[in-house]
This record gives sequence, structure tokens and C-alpha cells, in this order.
Amino acid sequence: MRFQLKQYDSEAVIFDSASGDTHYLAPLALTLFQLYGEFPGLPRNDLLNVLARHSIEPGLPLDTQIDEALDGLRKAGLLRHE
Amino acid sequence: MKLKQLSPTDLRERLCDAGIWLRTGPFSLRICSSIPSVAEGLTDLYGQFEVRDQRDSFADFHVSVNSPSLLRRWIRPQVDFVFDGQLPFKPLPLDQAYPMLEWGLNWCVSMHAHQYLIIHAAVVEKNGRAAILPAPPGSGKSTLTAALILSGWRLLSDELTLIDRKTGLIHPLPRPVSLKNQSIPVIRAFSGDKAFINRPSHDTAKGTVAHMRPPKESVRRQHEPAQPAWVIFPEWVAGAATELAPRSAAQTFMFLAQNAFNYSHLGADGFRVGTQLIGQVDCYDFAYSQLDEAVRAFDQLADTPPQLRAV
Amino acid sequence: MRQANFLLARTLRTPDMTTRFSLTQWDLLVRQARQAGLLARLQDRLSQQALLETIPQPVRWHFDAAATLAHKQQIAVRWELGQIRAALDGLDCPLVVLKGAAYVAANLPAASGRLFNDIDILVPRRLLNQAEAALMLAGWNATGLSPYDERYYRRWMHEIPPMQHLHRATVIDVHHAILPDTARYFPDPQKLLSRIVPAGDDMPGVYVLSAEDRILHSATHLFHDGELPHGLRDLTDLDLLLRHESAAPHFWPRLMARADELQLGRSLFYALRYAQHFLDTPVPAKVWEDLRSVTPGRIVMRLMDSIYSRSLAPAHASCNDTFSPLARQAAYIRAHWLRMPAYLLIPHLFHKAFISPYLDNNTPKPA
Repeated sequence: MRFQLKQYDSEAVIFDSASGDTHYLAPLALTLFQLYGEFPGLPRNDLLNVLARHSIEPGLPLDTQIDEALDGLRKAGLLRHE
Repeated sequence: MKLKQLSPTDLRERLCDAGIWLRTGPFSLRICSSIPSVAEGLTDLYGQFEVRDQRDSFADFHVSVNSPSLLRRWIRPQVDFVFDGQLPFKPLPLDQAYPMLEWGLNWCVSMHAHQYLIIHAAVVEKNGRAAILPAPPGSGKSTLTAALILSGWRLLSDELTLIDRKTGLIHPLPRPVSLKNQSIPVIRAFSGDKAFINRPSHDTAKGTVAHMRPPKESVRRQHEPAQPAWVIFPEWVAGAATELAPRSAAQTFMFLAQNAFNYSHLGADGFRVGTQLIGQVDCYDFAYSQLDEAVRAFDQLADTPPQLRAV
Repeated sequence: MRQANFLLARTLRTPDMTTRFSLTQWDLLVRQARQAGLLARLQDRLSQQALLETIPQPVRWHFDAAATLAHKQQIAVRWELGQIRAALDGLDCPLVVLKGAAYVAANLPAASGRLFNDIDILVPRRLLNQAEAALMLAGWNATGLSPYDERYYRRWMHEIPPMQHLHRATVIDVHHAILPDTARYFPDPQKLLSRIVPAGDDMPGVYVLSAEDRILHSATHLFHDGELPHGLRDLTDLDLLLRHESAAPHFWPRLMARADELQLGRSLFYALRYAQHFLDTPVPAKVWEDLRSVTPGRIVMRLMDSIYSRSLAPAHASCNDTFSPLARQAAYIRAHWLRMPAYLLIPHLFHKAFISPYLDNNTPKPA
């Protein structure tokens, strides 16, 4: 298995055995990683509905937070290209 | 046999000749040096460590601290640290010969000892549980470490926390504790002048540096590993109230991975050992301004029975 | 020529002699092996001969630690090759990997227990600029060389200056030939490229030199590149490559023919001679006959033996004698003489000796 995830409460650390890199996943990124792992190609609307029901982080609008988190996951090679 | 059983003359002679074989924690060393301050430092600070005869011996690290050339013995005198014929560092002024030995020995361990996950942190133990103290330079970690070991805590290490990859236990390396600048008078005062601190070296890259002799008991128990229980990030802030605040486990893991000398060298096993460690410990930020209050806070931690952890 | 008799060489030839070692001998062996960059390879050799359990307890961790590093580096090289392949995807040529990284890519015995500094790739000269640009786009940049060194690389060498990745700090050496234009011999890179083979199913899009060319490259590198800090290690590469390939039918005649075609016969001669001297590499008697035309006369041979028996040994005090420093210098000069004509060589060496600092402070790489 390429990725090894270890969760601590709502955060996680993940090891990529192909690249040898280790990444930190903040709560939103962890949630997205797990959601996309279970439901690849999940439509954005459904995603927003799921997340809106569980408040994640205040501050920026949810849409922006999601985009930033997805960008981070992509750069780390943790998401298959949609 | 202990080093203190060698007469200073005998020690100096051996150092100039075939060197002395010394055991520190899990590592055996063969040290050669014709520099008087090195012999002096060893006499003052390593009395309790085991020395052995040269015949039929194996030493993990062969090191020497010597002048690079005849010329440089007299004109702006310098010293080199040599690891088995290699020079990992640029030369330093003669005055810094003894600290150079200590830095060189740290380098040897951190570059080679991959049977451990090696974290850049101090680590002390009480009541069978160890507290790992990672901290960037200037955070007062060494001062706190020194105060703790003067107050009944066992010194495991002041720079290199060695985590056995197979067992997850911390292996002691209780070499002298390095103190810098203001720490030196502070610790002298804290110990009522009872701690032995050697002659400082000046104008080093870290300022004024001196070393404190490790407690006899810590050296006696240098082969007893310890169970990790806490990772505590100390920070001295003038006037701050003593406070222990819980810290994110995931972020602590990332910090340790980034501040371990060899985390990436261990590949997947580094991740395994690191997460196993975090799973066994409580993580805290620790602010303080009064050393004795800080020690009391640690004592309180050590006296609180461990809570059962979900696996 | 009598075989090399320092402890490491004897142990590589006959690993089971370690079962009779005293602690002092283990002490010396570990130190020589570390200096030579061979601790991990020695661990591998001992492991293959089921001798790991016989290593005394205080000594054992040195071997295990080296093996840990080597294992990790193999994973890193594979990953890096994938990154390089992606970066050079648009280039109109296959990705050809050389030397150590090639052994990993092709899963050869010569990959095990090996440590890697850089990754070497071969690109046709006409695509050199494009390759450099593509790599820069993907995060690799020319390392901080002095302007003099940079000119030296670009004008005379067969590679552009080493490129280091911004984040991962891995280094790529991009070659367009295996010897510089100015060298005495010119093995045509086109010929090498015409015989490349795929590295393997687990490395799609990655190619390596043919078996004979790999061996010839290893031999040439040893005797034409000026730096010999890991001469013995490179010889062990050659030894492993030869032992692996020589089982194939008609291997030796093919190797001889190719050496002739690429004008690399003399390098091959020396490589085989010293591989036998240090490592007892099996070479059929007929091969020496076939190499007669490139075998030097007795006087030159004696000189070369005295230089290379010393300069290929690890630079450890216990492997040196009074003549070793001179021998190493002679080897260095010879290699440069083979790469550059005299009128270029002398200013270059002068510059290296007096202007670039002689003592560089790179941390020695652990074995």
C-alpha cells in the first residue's frame, strides 16, 4: 500500500512510500482525503452539502478553503487527478 | 575501570599516543589528542565513564582533536576534529578544542547511528518515564535540562535523543551538558555552586560555551533504556507564569520528523517509529520564567500516575 | 601481480574469513569499508553468505545502519527516475540512465548495497539544451559552481554542470557522451544509443546501455575520470556486472568486439587486470590473449600497477604506504591527460590546485 495514514483526533500525518515524503493533514484536508478516498469523483455540490453540516473552520468561505486544501493535497501527490 | 582511576599524566600520555578507549552510552570511542585542554576536559567531565585497554578492542568511532600543522600550533593556533582520517569541519581556534570534541562526537552519532531514530532534543527521566525536550537554540532547553538533572531527574541526553527502532525505548547517552552564555552563571547559582562546570570557551559560533559534568547516577545507569512519556516544548519567556499547555499530536510528529537527524534516512520505518512514539506520549508546550517553578511543574508531571491510553 | 592484501580486499574475496576475526580486525575492516563506501555492499555480501549472525554484537550495527541507508537510497533513486522521466517527457529521445542509477533501474546485482551520489543520464548532444531547459522547469538548477568550473564543464566535459533539485536536493548529471570531445579516445555516443535496452517492466520509459556497453562504461569511467575516491567501490560494480553477465553464451567475444569497436580496449584491459588484483574477478585466459594488442609493455605496465594498486585502494591510512599520495596524484593527472590535451591541462590543474580551495569541506558520505 502506497500511503500510510495515522490519525490523531481530527488531524493526521501520512507517509508516501513511493516518494519517501511525509505530510501533515489539517482537519479539512484530512476530511477531503478520506471523502475522495471513499467516493472518487464526488461532485462539488454533494461535497459542500456534506461539509456544511459539520462546521470545519471559520474565516474564509468554505469554497475557498476547499480549493486551498485540494490544491495542497494535489501538490503532495495525495489525490488522483480528477 | 573508570577514567578517574587514570592519573592525569597517564591520561595525557595515552591521549598523545595510541589514544584512550571510552564507552559513552551505546557507543565506544577511541580518542586521541595532544591538546592539553582536551585532556583537561576529559579528566574533569568524564571521570565516571568506563575506559578500557587498547588490546583486542573495537571502537565505534575513532576520533582525534589536534593541530592541523606545526605552523598552526603556534601562529593563530587552530585545531581540527578528525573522524578516522576525514575532516568533517573547518578548523577552530585552539581555545575551542574541548567543545569541538563534544560537537564532533555528536556529529559521529547523528551521521551514523541509524539503528536509532535520532531526534535533536534533550531527554530526562524520572519514575521510569522520560520527557523529551525538543527546542530550537536559544529557547533555554539546556538550562532547563541542567536544572532538572540537578533536582533528581536522570540525564539521558542533552542533545541527541536516541529512540531504538526495534523497541521504541530511549537509550541514554549521558555525556556532559553544554551550557551557553547566561546559562552558565544561572546554573552555577541554581546548584549553589555544587555543579561542576568546566572552563568556558569564548567567541564560539554559539557565544561562550562550557560543559557541566553529568551526575554520577546518570552515568552509572547509562545502559538502562527508558520509556518515553512526554514530549515537552520548553520556552523561557521573561515574566511568564509557569504553564503546561496540551499540544497537537500530529503537529508534534511533524516537528520531530523535521528535527530528527535521520528521519528521512529510515524511510517507512522512520514513520513507524515516529508515530509509535507519539502514540505513547503526551505533548505539551511549556512556558516558564522561574527555574525552580519549572522544576516543580515537571516533578508534578512525574508524580501524576500515567493514564491508560487507547491503543 | 600479487593480489591486494589489505583487509577489506581480502574480505571481499573471501568473506568467510570473518568468522575467525578478532575484534581488532573487525575494527579495521569497518573503518576501511566505510572509507571505501563499501560498508553496505560488504553487509550484502555477508548476508548472501549467511554470515550476518556471526558478526560480533558490538560490531553489527555498523553494517545494519549502512544497509538501512542503501535500502532507502534505492527507493529514492527509483522515485527520482520517475520524476526525471516525467520532466523529460516532451523530449524526442528515450531516457537513458547510466552507472549506479542504471543498475537500480534494471534490477541488477550491482545495485545492491550501493550508495548513490548523483543520477547520470545520457542525452543526444543536439537535445542537450532542451533537456537542460526541461529539467530547470521541473525544479533542477545548475549547482553553485565558480564561473571557471562552469566554463570547464560546458566547453570541455561531456556533461553540463550537475543540476540540483530545489526541494529534494537530488543531483542529475546530464551527459552527451561518455568521454569528453577532447579525450584521446572517442567512443561514439550514437553507437551506444543504438543499442540501448529497456530497463524493465517496473520502469517503463527508462532505458539503460546494453550489457557490454554498461561494462565498458564502468571500465572507462574508472580510468578516465580524475576523481577516484570510490575506485574500489566502482571496481566492485564492475566485478558484479561481469559475474552476472559472463554466464550468457558468447559474452566474452561480444565484449571484446564491442571494446574494439568503441576504441575502449585499453580501459577494459586495465579494468579487468585490477578487478582481478583486488577482487579475484574470474577472467578466462583467452581474454588476455585477445587483449594483447592493447596490453602495454612491461615498463609501462609496472608503472601503471604501482599507480593503480595504490590509487584504487581506499584512502585510509591503513591501506596507504609512502608512495600512495604520489600514486593518487599520478592517477589524477593521467586521467585528466586522457581527457584534455596538455595545453589545456596545465592551466586547469594550476587553477584547481591554487585557486579553487584544495580542501573542500563536504561532509564525508557515510558508507
